[in-house]
Order: sequence, then structure tokens, then C-alpha cells
Amino acid sequence: MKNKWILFNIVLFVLIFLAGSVFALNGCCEKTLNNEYCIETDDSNCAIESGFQFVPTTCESTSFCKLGCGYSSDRGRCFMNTPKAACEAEANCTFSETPSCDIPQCNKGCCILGDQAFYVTQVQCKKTTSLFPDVVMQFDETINTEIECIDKTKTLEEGCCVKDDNTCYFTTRGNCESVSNIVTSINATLEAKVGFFQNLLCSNDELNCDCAKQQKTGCVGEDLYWFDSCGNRENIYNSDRKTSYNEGLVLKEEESCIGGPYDPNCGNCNYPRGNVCGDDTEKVMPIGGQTCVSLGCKNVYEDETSPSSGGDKKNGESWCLYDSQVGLGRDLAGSRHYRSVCINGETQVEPCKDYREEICIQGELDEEVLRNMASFLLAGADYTEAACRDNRWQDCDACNTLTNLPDKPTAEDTTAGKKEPQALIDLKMQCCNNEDVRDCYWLESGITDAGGLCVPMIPPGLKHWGDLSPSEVAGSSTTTTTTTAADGTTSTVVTAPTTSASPSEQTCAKANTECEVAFVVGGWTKLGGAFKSRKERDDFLKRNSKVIKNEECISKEWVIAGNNFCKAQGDCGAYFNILGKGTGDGYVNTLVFETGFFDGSKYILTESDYANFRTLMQKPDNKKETKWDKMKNDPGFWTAVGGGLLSGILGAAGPAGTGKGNSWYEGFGKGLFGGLSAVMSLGKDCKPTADSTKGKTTVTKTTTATATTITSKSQFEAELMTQTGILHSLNLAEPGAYQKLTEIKAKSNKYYEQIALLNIPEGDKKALNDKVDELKKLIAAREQAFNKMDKDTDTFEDKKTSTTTTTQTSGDEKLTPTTAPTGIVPPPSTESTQTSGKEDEFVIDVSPQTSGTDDTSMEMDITANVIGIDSITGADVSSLLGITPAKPAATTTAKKPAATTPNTITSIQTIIKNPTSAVTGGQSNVCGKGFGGKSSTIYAGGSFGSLINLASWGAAIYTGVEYGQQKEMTQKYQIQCKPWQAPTGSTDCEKCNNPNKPCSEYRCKSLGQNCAIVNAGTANETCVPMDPNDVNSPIITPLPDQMLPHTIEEVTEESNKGFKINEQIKAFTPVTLAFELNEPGQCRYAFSPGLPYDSMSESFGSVLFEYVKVFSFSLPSILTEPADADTNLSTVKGSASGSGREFKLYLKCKDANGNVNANDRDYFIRFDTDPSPDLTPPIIKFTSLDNNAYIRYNETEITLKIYINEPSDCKWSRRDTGFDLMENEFNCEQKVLSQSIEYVETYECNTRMKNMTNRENNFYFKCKDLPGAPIDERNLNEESYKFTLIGTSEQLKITSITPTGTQFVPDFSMEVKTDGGSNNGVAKCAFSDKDLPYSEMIVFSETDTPTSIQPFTSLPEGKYNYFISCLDQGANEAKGVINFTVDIDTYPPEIEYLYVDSFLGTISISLDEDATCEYMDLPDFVFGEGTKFSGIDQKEQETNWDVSISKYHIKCKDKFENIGTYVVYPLP
Amino acid sequence: MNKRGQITIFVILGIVIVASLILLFTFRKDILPPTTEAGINAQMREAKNMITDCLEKESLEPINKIALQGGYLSPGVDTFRLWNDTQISYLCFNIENQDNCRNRLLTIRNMEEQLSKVIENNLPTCVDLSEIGGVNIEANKPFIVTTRILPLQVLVELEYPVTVKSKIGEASASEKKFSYIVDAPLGDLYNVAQDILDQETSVGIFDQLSYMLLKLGKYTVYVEKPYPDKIYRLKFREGSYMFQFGIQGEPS
Repeated sequence: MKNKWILFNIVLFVLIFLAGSVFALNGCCEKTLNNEYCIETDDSNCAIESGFQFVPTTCESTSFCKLGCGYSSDRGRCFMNTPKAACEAEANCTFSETPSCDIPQCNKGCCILGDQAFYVTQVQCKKTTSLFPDVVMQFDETINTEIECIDKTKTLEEGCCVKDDNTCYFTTRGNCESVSNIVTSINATLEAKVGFFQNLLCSNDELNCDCAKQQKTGCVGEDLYWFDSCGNRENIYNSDRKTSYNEGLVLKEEESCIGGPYDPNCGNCNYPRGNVCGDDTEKVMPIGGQTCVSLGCKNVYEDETSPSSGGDKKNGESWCLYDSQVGLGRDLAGSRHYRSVCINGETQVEPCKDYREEICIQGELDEEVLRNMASFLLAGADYTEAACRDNRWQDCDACNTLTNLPDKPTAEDTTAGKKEPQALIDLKMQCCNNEDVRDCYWLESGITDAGGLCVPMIPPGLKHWGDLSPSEVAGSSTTTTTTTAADGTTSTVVTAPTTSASPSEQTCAKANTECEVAFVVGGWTKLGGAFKSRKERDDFLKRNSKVIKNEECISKEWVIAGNNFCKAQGDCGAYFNILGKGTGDGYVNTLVFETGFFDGSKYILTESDYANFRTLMQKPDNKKETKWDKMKNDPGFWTAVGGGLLSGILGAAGPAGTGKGNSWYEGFGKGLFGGLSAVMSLGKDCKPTADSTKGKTTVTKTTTATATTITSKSQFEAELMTQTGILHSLNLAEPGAYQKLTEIKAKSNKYYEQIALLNIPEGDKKALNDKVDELKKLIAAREQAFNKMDKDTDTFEDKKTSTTTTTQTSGDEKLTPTTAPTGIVPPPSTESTQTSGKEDEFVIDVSPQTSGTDDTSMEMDITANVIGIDSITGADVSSLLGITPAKPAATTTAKKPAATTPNTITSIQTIIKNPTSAVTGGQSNVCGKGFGGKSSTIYAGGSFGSLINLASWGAAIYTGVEYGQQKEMTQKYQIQCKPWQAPTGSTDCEKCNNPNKPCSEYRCKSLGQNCAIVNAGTANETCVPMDPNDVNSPIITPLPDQMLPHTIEEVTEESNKGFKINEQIKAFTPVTLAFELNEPGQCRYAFSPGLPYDSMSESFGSVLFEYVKVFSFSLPSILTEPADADTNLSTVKGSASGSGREFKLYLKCKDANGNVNANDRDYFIRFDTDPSPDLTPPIIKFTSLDNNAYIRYNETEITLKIYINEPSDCKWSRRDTGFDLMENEFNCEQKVLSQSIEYVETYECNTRMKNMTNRENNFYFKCKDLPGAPIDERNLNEESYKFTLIGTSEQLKITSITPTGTQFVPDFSMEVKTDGGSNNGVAKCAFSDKDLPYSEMIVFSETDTPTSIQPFTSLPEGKYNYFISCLDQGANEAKGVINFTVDIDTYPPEIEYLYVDSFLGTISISLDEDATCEYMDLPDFVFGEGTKFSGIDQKEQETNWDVSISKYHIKCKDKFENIGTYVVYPLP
Repeated sequence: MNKRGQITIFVILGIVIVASLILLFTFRKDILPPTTEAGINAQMREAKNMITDCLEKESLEPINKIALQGGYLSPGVDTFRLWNDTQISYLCFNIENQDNCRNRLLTIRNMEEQLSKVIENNLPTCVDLSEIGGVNIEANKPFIVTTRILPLQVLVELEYPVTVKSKIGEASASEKKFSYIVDAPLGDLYNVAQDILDQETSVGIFDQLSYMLLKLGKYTVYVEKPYPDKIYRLKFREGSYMFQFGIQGEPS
């Protein structure tokens, strides 16, 4: 019994303890146990038992701690944004609802005490004056600024004060006690011996003071003065004593000498000019020990990467310190911006907010405000000013999601190769580059349809390290989720809490992307024979396959572009820390490790691919790269030189070979010339570079905008004039005009950035920017005219065709876009491509040429981009020509590629997104045309007689097998963007402790995985290496509790430790593997034993260094695919066993010091699969649109994605019917390894829903799993998945916007009422003073209801014009405009009627407007401190008549804070 | 008695006389208690010096500490940040998603009360009037300390009626108030802090450089930014007395 009692108590204690720890709430406490008011803390710290309130919310949201103004009459000080309870608890504190303290008591004025002046409230002035009983208070409320107040002291009347005892002192009139006799002019009689003698020095002989002039010097304020023998101040020191003495009269500062620092002749120092009176350390003065000393800073800290650092700085100057070149995404992991200031001869360093949440911006005094990039590069300014300000990167991504084009895009808007309309891309770029509202830039990248992305100019820092302790993880519990499928079956998923990505990982994951590469294996290759192994087969296929779609994804450039995008998210991807140590752990692309078809090893990023670190650490200068510098570094240049020489040789051989030519040297000359032309054309439009330092990754061909290097203002002016001239002279009706226009537009988009980098004065930059503005306006006008023409003329084809033409000169021949006569008929546009036959075919018309000397030869200029065919290579064309009878004219058909958009070669993005054009005809014609002479001209051979027929048969058979048996395959390549990881080890930790750039945890952690801040919060806070002697690898211990419902058993096999899962794992059942490390570490796994850690491809759980590693997966492919299936399961190996298939994961873990598993042994995890057949139908787990979501008014089509738990075939119908009867199919991912990147362990299906109505639209989905399996093995949804989209029945409307007209108060609310739309007028409204897109407007403070309200406070007088935009859940938008005027009442209330009732003993007043009145028997009382009349905000007021008061001082205040003052003499 | 004996007697007598004189000097106050007003006043001055010394001793440390800790001698839970070994009080608390912050409303009166209280509590351990002998001292009332923070000084006043009475006779002297002035610009630096808070509470931004230039370099304002907070450190250009306080920031 006793034991039970003890046990009970223990349990009770534990429960109480747990309750205390679990249920502690955080919130706003009215009063804490420590007598603090309005503190956000936990409830245990709150004095709840004493009756004070606690609400689990922020203090601003509570009534008792709402914010207002606290006015303390004790000292006359006003406290803005003060909680109500805090004020009420304070004695003499009055709370008012205006947080900005716009109340009369808080109005400041100039308080003058003697020769001092302060800018304070009247009560503060009184309190201060009361400390000096002899001083008369002066308070001037007409002075509105502190500077004005300080200047007031300079105008004070000064002179000598002579007392009765003949003592004299120099002071202001206010300080002279003997003010009864005031002499204001020296011409006045000086007979009076006592009094204040204005403007006279005490050493003046006219006075009876025994004071000898100019006896010594000393500092007063900022200046150096002469002093007389009595110690009285005289005039400012001047070595010319006579001038300084000024005949004994006061000489004002502005009339005194002008000097500078350490001037031995003048003591007129000037603080704003950087000098002030101080000790003469330089010993320059002939008398005294003081002089004007400089407040500037000599030889300040210089940093290679900070252009404005170093040298001498003036007092008040400030400049930025950086860790590397900044902007355009170049900021290094762990880097920070700093502002350095020079003040009073001392340099201070102010760190901007860590994690790059603030950035340092600089400019030059009295110069134009600089744009971001120009600001970062500012150097050599006469007076630099800098500031840390918020890094406004948050809404960069919003520009990428813009969709609201003014009008629906036309076909002409869509340039070839870009899935997005050009107008939309322009809108995104415009949004992105709007530095007024955000700090972003347009990262040109081939990994998007828009050809670029809007990313942060200065990527924010991330907490890139993990620090979860084992106890924190162990204390958390698993989550069990039960889902019910459409057919009623349920499945349970047990998820460990740590499986969810950390915030850092989520941030980086925004840059995850994937690309599907399609390749074809010809029939002959496929028939190549049996292979002994998968590897042998893969190797063979690798050599013999041909990529037909998205080849750019298996290029190094794609990998680099992906990393650039990843880096732009913040500290993600592969990059450097501030010491130049690079790591690539944050960037994973499956291509690199794909051992299937493509050898990705050559695409592994190296440090030189992250960026050029040496360049990043150089002091940015504006020295421009010469053309030669550019060319010599350009591989294309050397290719072209080689090509030129080769062309020369071929040219020499050509005429001889054909018998057409002249001499060999003529051919060589032509060839060489052609080659050199190609060389000269390089850098203009064919520049294969990957300039990651500028945030751009170009692949093949850049726009001409970046080609010309402009280094001076005059060059830029000439460039702008040229482009303007071209624009003016452009005949829009001519073919090619639109292309020219778009080229100039593309160029102009770069001008601002180029101007910012010029080494010219800011004024010149401004002038150039203005000219670019003008040019842009002209471009817009011309574009508008063009569009108008286009609309007016339905047949206008220029836009459609011009983008497909490229005209360039090579050697002495012009390659022109060919039209019909040359033989190949290009599809002029997407609409007019087909001349006959099926949609998938096109026609090549090969006609004999009549020109030339040889009737049997055909000479054709072929420009692949004119062909407009993506899949046909130059070789294909040649081979086709080779097998085509020379005459008569023949018509040949060829397979048309899947792409239907016309080919174009206008920018890198186009080529990236249309790779086939890049790698085939398009590329060869654009970049390869320089190979001179006739190298671009193809000669068809003559007649070969009967051999032709034989060859034709052979070719026909070859073609039949090759194409008839060919197989098309696809492979998805993914880029996974993860948090950047610091290098392992700890050797650099202490380099963080730099006094000029203070260290922080974030900075410290970036220097090494084992670096840590110690003694946080103390004076010894330093970054130190943690446990540098650690040579032990992490020890792995399984966590069975986190692997439930599966159980495990620890086993040892062949000296390797590990564990096995006891249960067999079923198909598509989530499995969680979890273990704990004895120290933070990273883990990877492979399916093969013995691999070195760095060769293991897959990360086990998070890449962060953590104690607990959790990894969840399901086994779709392994269980469903036969072992010999062609599934590219190169990374997964399994072996069949009797009871299923056994799998082993081999693990290695690395600690922060880089120690990997002891003796390189693997830790293994073994599990068996359940061989029982899959009887569970597929489950639709997610949909891209919410069920019952609203859709836009009159929206008839919409794309929907569904995510299934296993590969399936899915269909949909408007009726709930059987699978086979459903009319519409989803396009479903059926490759087992191609899981969706949006939702893990799901497979994506998509479809286009059509014929939507403005009412409720019901759809029914059904899926059937195991695609390709025999019909009787497949599982089908018996019940349909019902999905509903609700149409909008009427357009969203703004029904009213108030106020209108004139407002007479500064505080009022703007109210917008909406109706219609998707949800009866519920909409989010936003406003702006400009007509901006909704995303850039300011959202109303109260919105998402049919009535949106935006309060205004203290709105100044004026006219206001706001644009309103409201958006509802169905994406319906309504717009409106509001105009109103604010005209504020500034007139105080007036008494219209006064009545003193001696019988009742009352005083009654009647006012001309509502007001509140108070009275006192003293004048100048502060409103609020008087005795109140009876009425509050009323016209009629009354109070009791106190007969002891002879004079009533009354003040009445109206609701606009106007106060009227009146004096009433009540007579009985 | 022989000569030798006489010498011995004289030596012993001399020793006795010297010892008596020493004893007399040592215990003169008890043996010869002051009886005149002048004597009592001298004793009063001694008592006053002792109390003033104690006021000095017990004031300096809290006056320095209150400035270094942002106006609070004992910051409560969740109201400070540990920085450089010092609990620096937040004078402005973070408001979610806003640049400006919530004023904590630190008043001069509040600081005065804290100082008064702590000095009042510490004085009994220092003031020991029993060390003053020869007089009857009446000082039975509790210490009542009033602190006044002035712009450049802190005035510490003690209300502690002390009466010194002669043990013999009627002479007495008494003092009711004692005071000590500490040269510490706490009031002035508080005003600078409030200027900064005016900006932080209204717009959320304060530029220390502009402020220092506006004040003609009279004050030096340092800004530190330990994530996510801000710490301001204020001092006179030429002084060493420092006032520091924190602005609570919002982590991203």
C-alpha cells in the first residue's frame, strides 16, 4: 500500500511537471510577476492571480495593451506607440488613442535657457527651467525644427553684464541679472556703470571693468575664442588681434575669419565642415593649447571588395563594406553587408541586419540617387553616404507568376521557342526590374519557358546548418495519417516528424526543376543483339541513341543554369563561403549520377562553375574587357580561326575539284576571307559562354544586345543615336522590320545595367538613362504602330515569318532566307505550314536549278531555320538529297517533329527550349556559316546511273528498318536544390573574428561545419573550432519507435552492422527508416556495397548535419516491375528471392569533421518485399486545384493535374459512368521512377478540362493501375472520384467606392464594396496611386469580404487619386478609381453665446461647432490639465461658477484638434 | 632605597603614565565626551560624512548598472537580451510584420524609483553610526531615499533624521537630510534614448550618423545588430558613462 502511494505521488508529480511544460502558453501579459506591463511572455510569468489579464495573442491585438500615445505630464515627454496598460500604470501618464502622439501636449518648440536652446515640449522646457531658478524661460512654439532652434542661439543678444561691484561677465541679456539698464548702442551714453551693455566686450575701454583684452585662448562650443584677463569670452580667435578685437565690440561668427583644421591664424571652426575646437596636438598655435582640429578619419580600413573603402574620410561620411562583389546574386554564403561611418575622427562599423536581411546602399552627396548596381560599385566619391536598408527580395517570385496580361495573347505575341507570350515576359521583366518596390533582377536562364527568372538581387541568407539535438527529436512523436480512397479502401501512413523539410530546405526547393529528355534508338541498333548485362546494354544504347527532345538538359550549361537558379534562392546550391571554400552538397542533379544512358560525370559541377571566386574578391573597377580579351577567351573564336583556315584550304581545293573555279589561291583567299568574316562575327551573335558571374548562363547564341562592349559615354550616346535612327527609319511594312524592332528592344533592356557599370560620373549616367528612357518610349510607340498595322491587316505576315529568318553575310556570299525558288518550301507560319497530307508531315520540294554550268547539279542555299523543321538535321537533308533523283522535280515527305511552334533563333532561351534546332540545322546555319566561301552551300552530285537505283533500294530498306523498328524513350532529369553546406572541418573558424567585420553565428557557421559561436551573449563571443581532435566517425543506432508499424532486428553480416525489417513490405506502402547518430552528420546510401561516400548518389534524409536521420519512401517500381524490365533502374538493384525480393541499402555517414564510417564499412538496412499480388486500386491523393474551387467568369477551359499513388491510366467524364465509357483521358506518367516532384510518392496525370460553364461543373475520375499488365491483373476504381469546379455566374463588380468629394478630416476610411464574382462579392482589394498590376498594389487592411476598408490617418491636405483593384477566389478582377480631396478644418471653435447665471451659479457657453472645453484660473495651461466643462464634443457647455475665480481662462478644442482660447470675467 | 630602586620606580611610573595617556587618547570620547556644541557638531559632521560616503558607495554601482542595462536594474523574463555579459533591456518590443515597435515606456520616474529602492535597501549594510562613540545617536527611522535624475547628474537624497546628543549635558545636533551628487549624464543620455525611440516607434528606422551630426558630435551613438535585435549604445563624445538599450527584432 505504501509503495502504491509513493508510485501515485511520483506519477502525479510527473503529470504536474508535464502539464506545466506542455501547457505553458505564450501571449500578451498585462502585468508580469516582475511588474512589467504588456510583455509577451508565457502565462506562468504573468500576474494572472492578481487579476491581470493574459491573452495568447500579440499585445497589439488586445484591448488592454492596444497602442496609443502615452503623455507623461511629470516630465512633459510623449511616448509614441505605447501600450495602454503601461501608460495607465504610470503615475501622471495620460493615454490617448493616437499612437503618433499628434496631440497638443506633444508639440515641440524651442526652449531657450541662457545661451542654450533645446527642441522640446513646453512642459519639458518648464521642467528644465525649474532646475535653474535664476534663468528666465523662453519657449518659442513657432520654431518647428531642431536646427532652427539651435540656430536661434546664434541670434541671441550678447554683451557685457556689469554688476554693482564692478565685476563684469560676458553673457546674454537673459542671463544678466542687472537688466534694469540696457544699453543697446555704443553711441548711447555709457554713463550708467551698471547694466547690460549689448555688443560690448568686457575688455572694452568704455566700461569700468578691470579686464585686459586678449590674454589667453580657449574653446567655447565648436570655436576658439580670445579671453580677457577676467576670463570673459571675447571674439573668435584671429592671429590678427586688432581685427579680432573689433574695437571692443562683438564680432559675429559669420563676420570672423575663415579657417580650417590646424589653421594657426583662425579659430573659426565649423563642425559641419569637419573641424571643431580641440587640443592642439600638432602644436601649430602660437598661443594657447587649442586649435581647430579635424574630425575626419585618416587611412580607414580598406577592403579589396568594397569600392568605397580605404583612404581618408570626412566627418559624417559613411560607406559600405562588403565581403565580395555584391548584387546579381553574387553574395557569398555567410556574407554580410556593413556600413562604416566616420564620426568625430573615429570610425564605427555598423553591421547591417544579419542573413542579408538588410543591404548596404551608398551614394554621393548632392548627386543623383543611384540604382542598386551602380550603388554597389560606387568608388572615389567626394563625400559618400551609405545606409543599411531592408533587402526587398521577398516578392521577386511574384513577378514570375504574373499572368494578367492586358489582353489575351495573340499568336504573334508568342515568339517561337517560348511558350509564354513575349508581352508577358516583358511584363515579368518590368516587374522584376522595378527597383522602386523590390530588389530583384532578371536571371537569364534556359530552364524556364520565359527564358529567365526574377530572383533576388542580393539573395537572403539561410540557416544552412542543422542543430536538432537528439532529445528534441526523440521527444517528438510520429504522426499517423489515414486516407480513404475513392473506393472506400483506407491506407495508413506513419510519418516521423522530422521527415518534413526544414524551412531552409523548403526555400531552396523552390528551385527544384526537371527536364524530360526524349531519345530515339534506331531499329538497327535495337536489333543489335542480346546483352549480357544491363550495363552492356546501356553502354551500347548510349553510343547509338539520338536525342530528339530537350538535349540541352544533358549539357553542362543546363547544370550550371540550374545551379545559378538554385543559388539565387539564398544560401542554396553549390557555391563559396566568404573565404572562397566551395562546396557542392547543396546541389544534386540526377543527370550527374545517372549511369544509364548518358555519362553525366563530365557534368559534375566544379568550383569554377559556381563562379569565378578570384573575380568576386577583386575590387570592382570599371575597366572594361577589350574586344581581344573577349575574343581570346572565347572558344568559338579559335574554332572560327581554325574553321577559316580549313575553309581556305577547302576553298582552294574546291574549284579544282568541281572544275568550276579559278585559281587555287582565289579559292583559298575566298575561304580564308569567309573564315575571318566568321571570326569577326563572333561575339556579335555567336558566343558560347557561361558567364555565371553575371548571373547569366548562355548556351549558344546571345542576343546582340550584349555583344558590343561600350566603355564610354560618347560610345553609348552614339549607340543610342544609332538605334534611335534605325527606329525612325524602320519601315514597318517591310519584312524583317518586326525582328529589327525586337532586337533593338532586347538591346535596350540591357542598357540600364550597362550604364550602371560605366566608369563615368553619376550625372552622365543619369543623362544616359534619360536617353534610354526616350528610346524605350520610341520603341513602345513603334511597337504599338506595328500592332495596329497587324490588326488592320489580317494578312500581315511579317511578325510570323520574320522571326524565322536570319540574314548574314559570309565571305562574299550572302546566305539569304530562301523562299520557293530555291527548292525548299518553308512553312511560313504555324497556321500555314501544311500544304497537304497529314499534320505530321511537311513537304520538301527539290527542284532542279537552271543556273550554273552543270545541268545535273543543284546548288541550294539551305538555312535550316528557314526550313522550320526541328527534327531534320543537316545530315538528314543531305542524305535525303543524296537519294533523291536529280530530275525531274521530286516531292519527299519526312516525319515532322512533335513541336509545332515555328523555329526561331533569336536568343539563347529559344535554343535551349528548342534544342533540336540548336543541335541541327539551326546551329549549323547560324554559328557555322562562317566557315566561309561556299562551305555552306551544298552541292548535289551528278547522275550516278544504275548505282543510284541500287543505293536507293538499300537506303529504302535501311530506312524501313531504322525507322520502322525505332523506339522512343524518355528520361526525366531533376535538379534538386538544397541548402548550401559549409565545408567540413574547422580550420577557418577563427578567421571570423575580424574586428572590422564583426562575426555572428551565421557567418561563423559558414566557415566550417565544426565552427560554432561560443560564449554567446558574453564579451568573449567568438567563433571557434569545435572538437578539432575528433577523428571518430559517427555511430549509427536505429530508432525502432520511429519506424513503426514495421519492426526491426539488428544483425551483423560479414562484419558489417545493420538491421533488417522483419515484415515484408507491400507495394506502394510508405516505409520509414530512422536512426540516430552520436554526433551531427550527413548520410548517404547506395544499393551497392563498398562505394566511397562521395560516390554515393542519394542523400539519406536531410542534407543538414543532424543527429537524427529519417528517410521515407515507398517501393513502387521494385515491386511492380519485372526484374528484366526496361525501366532504367540503374540505381536500384534487387535480387529475386523465394519469398519476394530482398533489398539492401548500404549507408555511410559523415560527421562535421569529414570522418566517414569506420574502416569504410557500410551500415546496411535489409528488407524483403511482399510478393503477393497488388489488389489495391489506385488512389488519387492530390489535385492541382482544390475540389470545389472557384474558376474565373466565362472560363471555359482549365488544366488540371491529379496525383496518383501508383502509375495508372486515368479517365474522366462529366457523367458518373464506367471506366471504359469515360470519354476523356488523362495524360499519365507511367514510368515507375518518374514520381512527381510536387508531391512525393505520387504520379502525375494531367488533362485539359473543356466546356466549363458558369455554374457548378462536376467531373468524375477513375483510374486503373498497372499499365501494360494483363487486364485481369489490373485494379480499377469502382467508385468515381467526384471533382467539382464552381464557375462564376457573374463578373466581379465594384459597386461603390467611398469617400468621394471633399473630406474635412485627416482621419477617415476608404471603403470599397464588391458584388458578384465567384463568392457573392467576397474579394481582396488593393490600391495604389498608380495604375499598377494587382500584385504591386497595397492590400487593404480589412479585406477578403464584400466590403474592404482602408483607414487613413493624418492625411495631409490635397487631392488624391487612387486606383483600386479587387480579386476574388476565382481570379476575377474588378477595377475602379477613386478621387477625393482632403481639406482640413484649421479654425478653432468660437463662442457664440455666453451666459453667467448668478442664481444657479453656472457659466454656460454656446459654441459654433462641437468641442470640448476646459478652464483654469491661469493662462497658458496645457489642454487636458484644466477643469472640464460638462459637455464633451458638444456645442453647449456648462460649468459651476467658482466666485473665487475672477478671470476664467477657457480653452475649447474641436475634433480636429483646433484649440480656441478665451478669457471670461464673470460679474455677479 | 637605593638609587637603583628609585630609577626602577621612575621607569615604572613613566610606563604607567605613558600607558595612561595612550588609553586616555584612545578612549577620550568615552572618558571625555563632548559637551560643547562645537564638539557635538564635529561628531555630527563625522556622522554626516559616514552617511554621505555610504550614499556614494551604494549609488555609483546602481547608477552605472541601470544605464548599462537599459534603464532596468533587474530586467524581467523576456524583456532583455544578453549581450556582452550584460542584460540589455528592450525598450521597444517587436510588432509582428511591422517596422516600428511597441514602446516599453521607460520613464525617468521609473528609473528614479528603482535607484531609490536599491540604494535604500543597501544603505543599512553600510551606515553604522555606532562607530561614532562618545555621543548618543538617535537614528531610528528607516532610510528614505529619493533619487533625482538630472541631465548631467544624479542627485541622491536621503531622509534619515539623525540626532547627536552629548552624553553629558544638553548639547545636541541633528540632520534630517543627506545628499550626494553623482556626475553621470543619465538624464541626458535618457533623452537621447527617447529621441531614438521616437523614431523606432514611429517609423522603425533611426540613422545614428545623422543624429550625431545634428547634435554637433556631442553624443556618440553605436549600433550593434545581434540577430535579430538592435542594440544602441550611447555616450558623450568625451565621456565614458554609457547608456545602452535594445530594440527587439523579428527573426525571419
